[in-house]
Amino acid sequence: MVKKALSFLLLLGLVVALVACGSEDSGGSGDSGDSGDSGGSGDSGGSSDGESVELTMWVFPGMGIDEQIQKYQDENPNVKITVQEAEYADHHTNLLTALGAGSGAPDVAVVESGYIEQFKVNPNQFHNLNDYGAEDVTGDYVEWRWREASSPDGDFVLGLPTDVGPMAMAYRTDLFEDAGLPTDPDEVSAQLSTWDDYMEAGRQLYDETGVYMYNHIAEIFGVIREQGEEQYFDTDNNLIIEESEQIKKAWDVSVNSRDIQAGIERESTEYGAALARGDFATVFLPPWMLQNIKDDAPDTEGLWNVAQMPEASGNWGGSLLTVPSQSDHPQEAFDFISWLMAPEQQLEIFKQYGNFPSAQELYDNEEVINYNDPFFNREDLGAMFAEAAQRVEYVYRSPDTSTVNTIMGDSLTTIIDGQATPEEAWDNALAEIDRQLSR
Amino acid sequence: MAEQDVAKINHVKEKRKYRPKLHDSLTGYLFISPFFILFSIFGIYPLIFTAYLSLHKWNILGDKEFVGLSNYVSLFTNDPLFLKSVGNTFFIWVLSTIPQLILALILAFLLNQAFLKAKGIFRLAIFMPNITSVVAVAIIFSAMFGTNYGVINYVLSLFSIDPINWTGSTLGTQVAISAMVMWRWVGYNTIIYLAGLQGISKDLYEAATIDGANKRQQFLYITIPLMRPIILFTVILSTIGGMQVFAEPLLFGRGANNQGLTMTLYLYEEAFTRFAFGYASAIAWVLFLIIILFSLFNMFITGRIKGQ
Repeated sequence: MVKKALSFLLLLGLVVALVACGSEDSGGSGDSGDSGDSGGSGDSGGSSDGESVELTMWVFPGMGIDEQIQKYQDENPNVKITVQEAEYADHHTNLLTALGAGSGAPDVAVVESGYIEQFKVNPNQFHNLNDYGAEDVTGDYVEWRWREASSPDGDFVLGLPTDVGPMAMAYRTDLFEDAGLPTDPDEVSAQLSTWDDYMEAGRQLYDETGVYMYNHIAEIFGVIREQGEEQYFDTDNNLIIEESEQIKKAWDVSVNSRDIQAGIERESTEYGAALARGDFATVFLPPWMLQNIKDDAPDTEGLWNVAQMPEASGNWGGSLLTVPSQSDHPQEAFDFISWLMAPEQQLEIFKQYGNFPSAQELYDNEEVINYNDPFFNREDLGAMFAEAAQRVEYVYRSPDTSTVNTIMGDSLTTIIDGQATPEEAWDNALAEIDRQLSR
Repeated sequence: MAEQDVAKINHVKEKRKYRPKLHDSLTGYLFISPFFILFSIFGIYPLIFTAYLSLHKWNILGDKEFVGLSNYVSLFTNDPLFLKSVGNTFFIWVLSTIPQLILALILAFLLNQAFLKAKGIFRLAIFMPNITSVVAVAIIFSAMFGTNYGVINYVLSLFSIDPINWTGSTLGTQVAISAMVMWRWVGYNTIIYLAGLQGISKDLYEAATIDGANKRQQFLYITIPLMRPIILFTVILSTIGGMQVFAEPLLFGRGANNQGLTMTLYLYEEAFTRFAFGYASAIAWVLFLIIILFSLFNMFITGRIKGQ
């Protein structure tokens, strides 16, 4: 009987181990047991009294923080930080399910800007960083990103900003020259100061060279939408899409310029080939996307320059570092992330990886201002993006904003696919938005 | 005395009957328990929890709000996208399964021929797509089905056919997704058919050859009738698989007009991009019922054919 009982226990152990493996998978890669143990090690209390603390951190690739984390651990021997990395979409799905399940979430989690609103409407899932000293560092970061990270009244702060993605316009100087357009960035900004100018230049380019002005109708819509101070919703979450002037303008420019777009989406496998061949002459991009051009079209080195976009800038990407409320060490976690995203560390990350800082004092820093890249021909690339970052305006977004974005992008795409007229596409979009929001 | 004996005998009987049985059955239950424990955790519990969720409105992070059957009601009365996804799924299923099974049968027949050398290599080669990562398949096919730089449009251009907008037209997207499904599963079905073919006695073919039947006649009048049960088996499997096509449209793109939106992809988007977990659960249950319906239909047909 003893033997039987033993074998049963063994079996049970096996099952438990299997189940544990199963749940570990949801945490992405990483050493087994870390996420479970972190809560148990050490009673809550203080980091200052030298008690050792283990913090888990979930990130997606491209954060560029490995060296800084090592440095923090060297300076704070009582803190051990375990980083677990998963792909962008997996990372957010994992975080979502860990929060929903009520266990398994890390002490520090990265939340990309596209997910901020969805997490912000559930503040009970996260520690309010204002309780741990976030108020003291408010002034360090660009205001628009801080407001995105906070509740409308500013009482609740979801996370500390990492990098930001202020938008500018890269353009092919050789193609602009062939078309008789200016090539100097200041002249380009002056001549292409409005979207009407941009379309006019695009037609000139297309007529002279047969090259399109930009890649895809849905992309320019997003770019112009992000320039506004108001999008689909007012601050009470009422849908104002039919009244919003910025949305109307974005839609009209997109529809009216569809003869000068190549019909190639940025996510498609053809994008790189089109870029390398020079099928379109301008790319709207945040600094982190410069590297994509270098990867996709290495032979175009020296043919690019970067100028400010028509009318205004905008933001694409960037993240927050949050502390889920499941964490037992919120103070230690906050101490860590506030150090990690302090201006000095952001500067190091920028120097090593090019992630554009959200700490505004760095916009005057020599290292940032003098940042440049021979691939893009511009000596003051850093200063130009710093200026773009300061041109970004805060926009209110609702948790439904990304749903509406998808519907608008799809509707515009049906126009160039020949599946709908612009009027039909607009009506279809409104009907679908109405249906999805009313559920 | 007699009573005592009887009691004793009974006791012994009980002992004999009862104790060894506990022993035996306990060991037996222990041996099968891993399946049942895992199945209850990963099979039954999610099934029941999904049913429970489908009666709620839930964004996974907040509180669940009970809404009764309204998710199901709006699924059938006010959701053109869901109906479209059902239609797409069936169309893609037909477009991929029928040519796939015909091709697999022909390939299996060829692989089974006596004159063919190096059979092992061919069999391995034909099975390779099935063990290739679906993500890799989808990325390669997306490149091949590119509108501007895709190799398929290039080949078509050699025959002076205008480039097809694969991602932007209804038929184009569905053909591309079906092609991926087909490419992955032809080999799998070929191997199953090959196993079936090898179960058919050679005598039948020899007799037919002596009687002057050619290869085509042998295929139509010997192979196909004897393969019927195996063909049915593959049809059932591809039905269940076809209802759940997911990774291909996710990676290829469902298209702006949702022409590649399948039922499982719609479920995924509701849950993980629109955070409507209650609604997604309702879709999951409807999908479950549709698959059960189809399995019953398949069983009915199988029974009829067996009865003949």
